[in-house]
Amino acid sequence: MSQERQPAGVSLIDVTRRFGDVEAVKNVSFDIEAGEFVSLLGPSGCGKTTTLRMIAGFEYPDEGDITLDGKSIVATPPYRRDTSMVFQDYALFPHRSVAQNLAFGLRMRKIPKDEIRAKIETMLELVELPGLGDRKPDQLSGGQQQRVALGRALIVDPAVLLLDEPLGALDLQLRKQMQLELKRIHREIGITFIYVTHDQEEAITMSDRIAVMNQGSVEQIGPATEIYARPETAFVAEFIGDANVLLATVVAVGEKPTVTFAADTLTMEVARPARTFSERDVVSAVVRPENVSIGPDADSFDNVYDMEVSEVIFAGSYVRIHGLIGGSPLWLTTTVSDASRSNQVGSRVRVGWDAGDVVLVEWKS
Amino acid sequence: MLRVYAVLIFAFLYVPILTIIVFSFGESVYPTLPITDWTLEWYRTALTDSQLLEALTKSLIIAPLVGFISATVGLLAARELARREFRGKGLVLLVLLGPLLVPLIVFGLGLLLLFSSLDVPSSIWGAVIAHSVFGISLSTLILYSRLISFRESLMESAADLGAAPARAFFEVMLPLVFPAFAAAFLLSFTLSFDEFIVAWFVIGFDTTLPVEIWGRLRYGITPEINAIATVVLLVSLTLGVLGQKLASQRKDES
Ligand SMILES: Nc1ncnc2c1ncn2[C@@H]1O[C@H](COP(=O)(O)OP(=O)(O)O)[C@@H](O)[C@H]1O
Ligand SMILES: [Mg+2]
Repeated sequence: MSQERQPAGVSLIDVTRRFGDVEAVKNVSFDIEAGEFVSLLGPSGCGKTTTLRMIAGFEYPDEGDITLDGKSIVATPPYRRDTSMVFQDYALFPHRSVAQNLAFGLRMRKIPKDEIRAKIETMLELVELPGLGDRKPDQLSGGQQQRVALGRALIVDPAVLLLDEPLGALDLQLRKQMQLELKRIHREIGITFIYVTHDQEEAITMSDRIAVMNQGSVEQIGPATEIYARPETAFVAEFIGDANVLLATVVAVGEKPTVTFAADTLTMEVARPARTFSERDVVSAVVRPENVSIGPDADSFDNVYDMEVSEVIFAGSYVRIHGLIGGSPLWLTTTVSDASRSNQVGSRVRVGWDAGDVVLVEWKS
Repeated sequence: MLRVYAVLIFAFLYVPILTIIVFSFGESVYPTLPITDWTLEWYRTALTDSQLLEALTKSLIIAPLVGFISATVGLLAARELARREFRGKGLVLLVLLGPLLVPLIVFGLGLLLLFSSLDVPSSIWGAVIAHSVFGISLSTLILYSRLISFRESLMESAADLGAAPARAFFEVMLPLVFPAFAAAFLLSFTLSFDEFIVAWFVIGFDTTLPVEIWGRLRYGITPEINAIATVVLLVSLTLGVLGQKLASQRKDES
């Protein structure tokens, strides 16, 4: 493309948006760096779309500020913002051909006709739809429409591309393929991508960083690995990956922090928590099922318990084992061979995990 | 049996209209059956009658104005109604139906009183305004039923791609709702073109075609009037049918 756009950073500063009594977005702040691929991830209704629409300019924040490249854009109407959006329903103009859809943004920018034609060709290549310029949107498959929507947003060289669950309507196979393709396109053109999804796997696969949203707030933002290893809230722990979230009470802080759980009948050593707790604080102790060892090996870990097996579920490449320790439910995953060695329903087995594999977060019921 | 009913119903609906058409081609000055000699003479007379032509011209000025005003205002109103949810929306839609339900004579009288108390001089504008009240009602309802299935994201993506609101309207919304817009125009046009009672109340010395026809009827039916009535009928019927067709066109294209 002729004049490559510099990617731009996006910042939200204490942004709040209400609809009547509903606080769709609550006091959200984050900084997205130029060229980054960031996903807004969270369950339906948590405010992802509203956040994205405020960046695009279709909604305004009731409070707070949004900046693009350091400059506030809240007073800029959407048609003058340097952002482009891929809509959830694609929003292709049904009365226009693919080429005309692609040309739309360029015409608004008064680009000369022959230049538009050249750009359309390049874009059709980039989104892998060569030769389909004359089709009408309703003559295309869902996946092809998705590509047109992407091309139409990209062709105007935006500084930031906003995508609202763009793959939501596609079947699993196509979705996986498009995820990789979006990654490729992001790498090739290098602009900032802000990607809304409720699919944790999608967010993990694609993003440099993930902002996990819940009930209008961003609970944590960071690379997937970090969010997975160090969730900051019980919600994040359960939303990204699988987790046992145990109600626990802090009984010792300092060198060897310790909590009790299972109605204070069991104690567990934990690594120094990321944030500080005091004695007698009620917390959630997060233990990932794949970090729990089962069988004789379990005895070598910091925290070792007897578990009564209540269910063994074969799940393809691994086995899920549910049980009770001190009356408190716990589940873990293990390999098929390990599982077959031990555990019949009703039997008692040893389970264990390291202090370093426990994350303490504030209790949330 | 059903067939007999159908024939009777159609006869009931169309025999009066057919009568006018048939007599407009009859040689005789008085409406008598059977018609022995056929002629186009009355059409020639009607179309060279300067008074009738003047009335026709007035109608042809008023009707498109009414059509355009109604369809445009109707589109803007329908868009706001369709994209907003608010309490009492049902009531607003019901109130919109009002002018279409109020007896014309009452409405005409009311408008006459209003205009004279405001010292609005009687002119074709009186008729334009009066007819537009009905036209806007009708147009808003037609366009509303189209716009509730219009995807707002289309306008948003136009804006997102750099189109200011007016540009987005002409590039995206208007082409997509054009059939409904045209229907609203045509039906409002027809409504105005045919309408007599209200026009009679507000128009003063200017006369629209229906008012002129009515004025002449007091001196007896002439074949000339049958001829002009047939012309009016054909115009109205054509536009009306076209409008209906457009209004009921597939709505799923956006
Ligand atoms: N235009 C609107 N009017 C009223 N409520 C809205 C509107 N848009 C969103 N909401 C509400 O705001 C909350 C967040 O919605 P949304 O941002 O669409 O969530 P998500 O995209 O994460 O599913 C929801 O409770 C939703 O019902
Ligand atoms: Mg959403």
